[in-house]
Amino acid sequence: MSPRAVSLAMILAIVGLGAAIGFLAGVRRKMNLEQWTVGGRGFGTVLMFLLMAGEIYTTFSFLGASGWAYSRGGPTLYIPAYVTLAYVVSFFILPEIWEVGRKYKLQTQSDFFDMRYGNKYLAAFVCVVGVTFIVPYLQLQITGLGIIVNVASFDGIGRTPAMVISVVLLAAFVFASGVRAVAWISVLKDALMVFAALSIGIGIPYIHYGCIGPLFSALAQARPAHLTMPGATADLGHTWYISTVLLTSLGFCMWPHGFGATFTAKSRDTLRRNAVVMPLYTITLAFIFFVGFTAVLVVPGLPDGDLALLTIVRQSFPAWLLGVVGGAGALTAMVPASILILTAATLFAKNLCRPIFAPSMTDDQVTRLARAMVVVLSVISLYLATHSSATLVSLLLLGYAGVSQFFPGVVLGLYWKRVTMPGVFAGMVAGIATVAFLVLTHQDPFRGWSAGFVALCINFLITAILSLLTPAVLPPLEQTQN
Amino acid sequence: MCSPGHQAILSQPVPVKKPSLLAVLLGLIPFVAMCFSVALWDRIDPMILGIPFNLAWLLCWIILTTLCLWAAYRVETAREKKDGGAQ
Repeated sequence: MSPRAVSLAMILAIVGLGAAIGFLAGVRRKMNLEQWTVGGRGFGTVLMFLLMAGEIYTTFSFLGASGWAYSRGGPTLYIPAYVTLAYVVSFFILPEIWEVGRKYKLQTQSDFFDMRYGNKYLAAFVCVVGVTFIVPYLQLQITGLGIIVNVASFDGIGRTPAMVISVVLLAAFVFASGVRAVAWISVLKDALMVFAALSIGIGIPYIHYGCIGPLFSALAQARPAHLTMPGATADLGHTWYISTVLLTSLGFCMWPHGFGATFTAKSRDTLRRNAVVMPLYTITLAFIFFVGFTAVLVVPGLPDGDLALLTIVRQSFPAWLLGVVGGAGALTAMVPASILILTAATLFAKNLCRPIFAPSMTDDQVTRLARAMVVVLSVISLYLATHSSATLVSLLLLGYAGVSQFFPGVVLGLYWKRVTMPGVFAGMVAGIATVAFLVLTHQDPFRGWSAGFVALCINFLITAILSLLTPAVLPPLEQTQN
Repeated sequence: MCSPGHQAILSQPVPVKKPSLLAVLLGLIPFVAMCFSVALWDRIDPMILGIPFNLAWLLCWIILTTLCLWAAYRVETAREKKDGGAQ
């Protein structure tokens, strides 16, 4: 067998195994809306850990983080910092969100806004923004899949056909399974991912330099500026680092899918324990960085930094191991992508279409519409993925700039009685408008600050001021639940 | 199910507990160490176990963050027990 056939067969076998696990986990349960989206609300620590790990360890951390270590250098350090700090934030707010969710039977982020602020247009706006900014995250996963199949086939399969194949497979297993299946595929995905990260993170510096120390000494000598900020960039310095780490760690729990996943937990204690343990997971990122930094000197001049990890793996290891790494990578794209599609489709059907356009829809019809949306969203992301050249990291940062704008509405909604609907609505609109303006006029970073962070500050300010200027709303007594 | 036309009902029977000051302080430590103080540790030397200082610093703080959160967890659960919370 040619190396191309070996590596592709390996990837197919791994993805097939993942899909089989997914179908098995989904097949024995009857899916109503709640079962499909929040898994019946009974995930203990283990399944919850898997679901959360499945969400964070994506193609972004695999190809994106190494890609930035290769092409940008020092600024890539924001990734371990923000993921770790995001769990600190989640420790404090997720248990409370869960508590409220259980009390009012919430399923999605929009439900939360609807319940807290009692305005269906605000809830619909949250839904539109959530779905909009999930799209770049989805696009990121599909781009990653394209890169994997492209490199693993030794450039035999073009990126576009590779992406089409992956999207079809993806939509198929989202259809069949729902959120519980996704959690179980995470088991396979995480085991493979840790194996792949450790073996290439240790193996590649070893093959080319003998050890980690000589690698960094060589890099520090050849490119002294690469390892610190702003690295190979002009404008990603310390101000950018602080503002980006704040933006992304605060925004982390605001992803509609993460928010929704919170409701799948069995207890608040589950969420707290998870927050304590999860940062340790970030350590595997170091190994991914080792690979990216080795690639700087070993395979210089790649047109696209996101190719760095797989290119150097292909050059250093036999084809079957490239296949294992590629298969692990494919699952790290497909698992989060399924969660993203599932969330966005449900949000669209349940929180946008039904309340605004068709209040008489039954739960069954909502489920069917959500399934149709799975196809629509897959096609949109596929289209964007084939027509864009943004790096994986910049796609995720764009998503963060958007979803972080929910933070004031959620956190003030939980902890500040005085916050009002007009304040939150106006703040969020201003925040999103700022993001759109700065990003579309190519002013991110804005004078060294992350554009999303600038928007978040404006958002906070407007929310607070307008809340104090508008009359406080007292809840109607008959709505109080016992 | 959160039906349309639902009114804001959270602000009166708030089931939300504010975290204790001690727990919040424990949570702020990692933010200071990994985020705000970046100018102090963003350098290559001294390398630790062959890893540049900035990366080594962050890796070290990933572990220390878990310790901080574990302490915060103890603080919060102890407080909830004392309050006679349902958990």
